[in-house]
Amino acid sequence: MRMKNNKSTASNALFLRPKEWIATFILVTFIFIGLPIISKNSNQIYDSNYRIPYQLSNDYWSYTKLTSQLSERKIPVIGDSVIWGEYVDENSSLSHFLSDLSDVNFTNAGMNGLYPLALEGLVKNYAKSIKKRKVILHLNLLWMSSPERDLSTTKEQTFNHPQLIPQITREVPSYHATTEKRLSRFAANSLPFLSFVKHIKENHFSQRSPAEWTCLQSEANPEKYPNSYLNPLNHLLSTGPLSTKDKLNLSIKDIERGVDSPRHKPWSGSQRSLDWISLENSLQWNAFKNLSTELISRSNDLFVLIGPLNNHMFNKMTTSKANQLRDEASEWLKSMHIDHWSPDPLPSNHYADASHPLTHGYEMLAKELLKNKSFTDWLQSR
Amino acid sequence: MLFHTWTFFCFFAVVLIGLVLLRKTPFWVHWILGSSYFFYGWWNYYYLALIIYSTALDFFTVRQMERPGTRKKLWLWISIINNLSLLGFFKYADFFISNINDLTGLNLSSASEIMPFGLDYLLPVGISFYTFQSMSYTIDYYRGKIKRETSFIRFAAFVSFFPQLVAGPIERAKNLLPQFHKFPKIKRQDIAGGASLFIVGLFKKLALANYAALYVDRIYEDPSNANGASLTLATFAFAWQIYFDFSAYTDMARGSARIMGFKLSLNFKNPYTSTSLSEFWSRWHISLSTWFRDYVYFPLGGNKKGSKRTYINLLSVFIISGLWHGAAWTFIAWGLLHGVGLTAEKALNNVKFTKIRLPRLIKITFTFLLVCAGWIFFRSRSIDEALVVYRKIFSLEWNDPQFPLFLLLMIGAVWIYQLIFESKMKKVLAENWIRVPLLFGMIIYLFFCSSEGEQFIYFQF
Repeated sequence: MRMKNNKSTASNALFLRPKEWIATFILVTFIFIGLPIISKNSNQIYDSNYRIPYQLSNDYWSYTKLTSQLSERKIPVIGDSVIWGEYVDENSSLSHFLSDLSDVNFTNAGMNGLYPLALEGLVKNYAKSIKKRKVILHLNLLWMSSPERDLSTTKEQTFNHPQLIPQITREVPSYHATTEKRLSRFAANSLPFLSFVKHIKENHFSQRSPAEWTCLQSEANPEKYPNSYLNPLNHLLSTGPLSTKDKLNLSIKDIERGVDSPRHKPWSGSQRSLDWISLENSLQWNAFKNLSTELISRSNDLFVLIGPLNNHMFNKMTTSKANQLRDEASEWLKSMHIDHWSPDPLPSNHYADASHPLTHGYEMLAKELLKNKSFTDWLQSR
Repeated sequence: MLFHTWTFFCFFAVVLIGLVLLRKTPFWVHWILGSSYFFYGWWNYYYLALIIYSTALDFFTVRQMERPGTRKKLWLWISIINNLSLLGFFKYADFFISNINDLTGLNLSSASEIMPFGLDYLLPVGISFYTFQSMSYTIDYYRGKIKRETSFIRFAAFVSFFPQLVAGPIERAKNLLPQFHKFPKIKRQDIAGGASLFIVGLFKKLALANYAALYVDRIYEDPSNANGASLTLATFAFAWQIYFDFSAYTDMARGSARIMGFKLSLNFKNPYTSTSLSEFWSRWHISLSTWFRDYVYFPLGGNKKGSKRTYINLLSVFIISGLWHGAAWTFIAWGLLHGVGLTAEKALNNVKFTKIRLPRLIKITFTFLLVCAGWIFFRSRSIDEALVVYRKIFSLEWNDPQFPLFLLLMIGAVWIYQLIFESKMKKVLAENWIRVPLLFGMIIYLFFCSSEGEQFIYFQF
């Protein structure tokens, strides 16, 4: 059927009639809903030590896929870079050692660059399938060690994962994004199709749009644009996603992480003092509380691991304040009937910085955890 | 507030809801005016003072003209001088001052130094568009073509109507003002047609204009380091970039207005299918070219005062048109080039050997190349830079241009589509098995485009 165009007011024939719009709308909705569902459920073989590759730290759809394909018996360990393993390779994270030293399977559900405010957003928007299961949640008190880390100063700051923090509902004083940025990030968090599209861009087009990818410059000198003559659609169909095991070589060979990397070494330097803020005024602590409540409301059986921070790095005052915060956090968890444990600090040489353990640190922490009665009781409970 | 942003979507949804709720009251015009001022103030609320001043002045001068015994011509000149002064100060002051300083060796203060109250000297967005729109109302009234608008609110809504406020189309009072007299009938067809226009515009901007910009900006960043092939293709891409960018804005403007039941004029009609420069100007930025025709070319005498005078008039209009686009010698050169081209075209039309029948496609290609030659001045930052581009293109030292093949395919597809639309095969494109999948594909592809708040090229004018 043809459509009449008014000659004087049209420069193309791309006009749809109301009924055609309805048909188009149905098709778009089908793609909008269908593609993410297909992608989420398409089988991806996750190795027991799998973690979201560093290169995909902003690909929240990978997180959705990972968490929605967890088998019933697997226990996700949720947290920031301490759980992800900032200085270690994927075979040396806490979840790896926990799985290795027990007959239970744990999954590294940490992500690089997170903090409680972002973690709350990640779990609320991208890990809806974490429900009715055992979950370990890590609390890193270091995020409350200064107003800047807490994001509660009014001075504008640049930080990781700005998309995951509350855009409209709550105010984060350090976050000064424009209305447009907030709205687009809000939309990206609310519409799964947009995260799926971002996933495609991150995995296949070097975190760019297909158009930008064809104009991508290589590091060669003189200037080279190796994708100029390539067809993005063909490229999309012919290459596997970066998040699959095949492509994980990228993260395995990551020279920044693992025992052979120059960064994998014990911390050094003099003791420091930190400007801790009270839990009551902390945005990060409130976000952590919201996250715990959210996970419980989804009928999860929650276990919270607090720290352990590298107290060897702090002076007396700082350590005492850190312990006070830890006790307050523990009190709140107790009041909420949430199982938790706050281990003693690891030996000084097992830390790379104020909160990140090194390989042996993770191993020791896993051993300690598996010896802890509250943890083993929780693990064995139905 | 840009059309291709979430902010605009939210804003537009609120405007539509308000408009529907107020449809049975006389306040729907107030609502449109308020929304338009909000839209404009979103950039910088200081700009609002200017638009209100310009609107009030033209409303007042026409009211004065209507009074018996007043000197109509005096009030007309007051309006014209005021509008051109506003434009002159905010757009051209620095250009003229720096040129006077260069020529005379004087050291006159720049415009930013004489701004009152410590305000920044900025080019107010859309000033070239709304001053022309407002001015046309005064001139048309003076010529007896329209009646005086008695309501200031309606007149202000006409001048500041948000869809076309910052980048046109430059509407005439005769077309748009009557639409504010009665609540527009919002038909389902209008919503469907408006949404189609909006999607096409969005696609042109996000998928095509921004894509072409990636290559153009890379090459034009430093033409002296680029090779002839790259510069040729970058110029070719810029021709399409500026078309996609500007016509995208007009499409989205017309689309959003149409969803509200308003009809705005067509501003672009497949200009790169033109077979001559004069045809090009009847298809490119139609609302501006007709404005210049009616308010500058005809008053100068048009083509009624002999051929010499016609050529002078043509050259004058195109130099002014160049200057309208920006305060730089490159824009003047661009206007002059088109003026010379049109003059030559007119002169050659009288010579028999030019009436040789050439295939349409050859004429289109030739016209396109002429237009591209003009775009080199338009895109370059200085005349010297433009000359470097010409020299490099004609040096024939051509290397691999590394031009994205995918972009070439997209531009080629659009060009072929437009050529078919302008041919006898047009009706094929109106089949729904072509229209529906095309729009569907466009919508899906839009989600894969990047939209990090890129501005529209024509905002700077």
